[in-house]
Amino acid sequence: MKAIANIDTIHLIIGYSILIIPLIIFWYFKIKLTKTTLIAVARMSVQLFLVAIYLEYIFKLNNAYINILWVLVMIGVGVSTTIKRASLKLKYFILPLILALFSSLVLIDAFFLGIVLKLEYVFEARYFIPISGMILGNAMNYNIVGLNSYFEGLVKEENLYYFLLVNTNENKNALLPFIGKSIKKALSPLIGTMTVMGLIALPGMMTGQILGGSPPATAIKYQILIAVAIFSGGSLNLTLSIIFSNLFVFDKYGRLNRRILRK
Amino acid sequence: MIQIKNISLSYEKELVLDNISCDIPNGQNICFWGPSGSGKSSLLKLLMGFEIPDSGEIIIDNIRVNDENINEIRKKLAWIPQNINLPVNNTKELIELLYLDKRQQQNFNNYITKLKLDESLLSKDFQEISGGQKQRIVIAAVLSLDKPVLLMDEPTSALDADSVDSLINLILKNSDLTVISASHDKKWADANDLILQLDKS
Repeated sequence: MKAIANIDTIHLIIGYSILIIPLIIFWYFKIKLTKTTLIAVARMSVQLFLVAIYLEYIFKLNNAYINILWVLVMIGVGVSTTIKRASLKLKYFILPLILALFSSLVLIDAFFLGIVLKLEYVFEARYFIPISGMILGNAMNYNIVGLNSYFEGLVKEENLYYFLLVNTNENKNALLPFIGKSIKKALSPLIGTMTVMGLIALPGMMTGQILGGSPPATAIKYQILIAVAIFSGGSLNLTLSIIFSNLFVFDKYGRLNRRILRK
Repeated sequence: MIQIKNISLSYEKELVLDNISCDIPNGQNICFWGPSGSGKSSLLKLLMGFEIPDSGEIIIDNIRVNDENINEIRKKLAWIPQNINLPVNNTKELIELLYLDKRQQQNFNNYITKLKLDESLLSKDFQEISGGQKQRIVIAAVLSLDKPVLLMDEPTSALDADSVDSLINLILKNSDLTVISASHDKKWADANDLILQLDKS
């Protein structure tokens, strides 16, 4: 198989020029997304270039402590972004969400890197960092949707929670409708994506591997495993986030602290 | 016996309940009666531990309502709030939401008959039935939990005159329940054994 064609600077710039299409759409329909989009693209580019430089060194060093530190930084950034975008207050959620994300990642990484891929050295940078990154990134997105739905639902429908708390005798029963709604809302998009994967969409990781020279059969196996890991990691992280957060936002009477949402 | 002893409650320094006391013997009905903002609903919430009093105490069957006993207390209570928006589309989903076991489902069917509801309503989508019918189905479901104390906030708000009569007959006249309600419906209040009148001041 031929090596992947390199992209020189000129062609990278030409590649950026395709953004003119969404920018024209925003301008024509007077949608105020131009500035946000340009900032997002600029941030993405700078971050990815920095990561590329950084990963070069990390891959060369291949040191477990540095790799773990890198993943811990990703967890910290992921959690603070989740809290901000889910409109929650940092002081109530920082600890439970870090605990949830850390526990989920340890379990999913240990399972996939140690048991499924049978790596002798699970902190091998070229597996540990990108796979952890993919699980973290997706888990963050599901948590933003899920936690916002759960806590906003509880605050808005407090009457329902109290109705069930008294009538069903169990705190768990009172929370189940809110938990169910939140998990469904968060995970349904991925279930939908998995349903049509390969038919109407070729996932990025698989495409990247094929472009990088891997045989399609290998790329597909990795893609299946990563999709399963992302789904399992995302659902575990959201569930643990809810369970751990509940310890901080309800008092001994089972009353919800209504000040958990950012205005 | 439910004892409310010298209860005071304030929201952000505004006094809502000032030194309220009353005893409610088991099997008796009491209506908290008064204008909006007089603290009727707050008093119900205090009984369930959803509000904590500034001073005073509530004792239910010799158990003090506090953070250690609250789960035990709530097992004795059934609660029907006003205008609740339940995430269910039909009776089957309501039964699942309240985790009614077989015996309770049998109770539910009995209460449906006693509340003069047509059984054909039970298979209908809640969007197809009136607000009053839906409220009576919810009341039947909560009654079927078979708890000794029933708390209700404005129980007649969505009911027509006939339905109010059948609810009074079923709950206030012909049951062993201790019913504690907050209402500004004169007919309902008068049908209770006891009335606790609350003033805004």
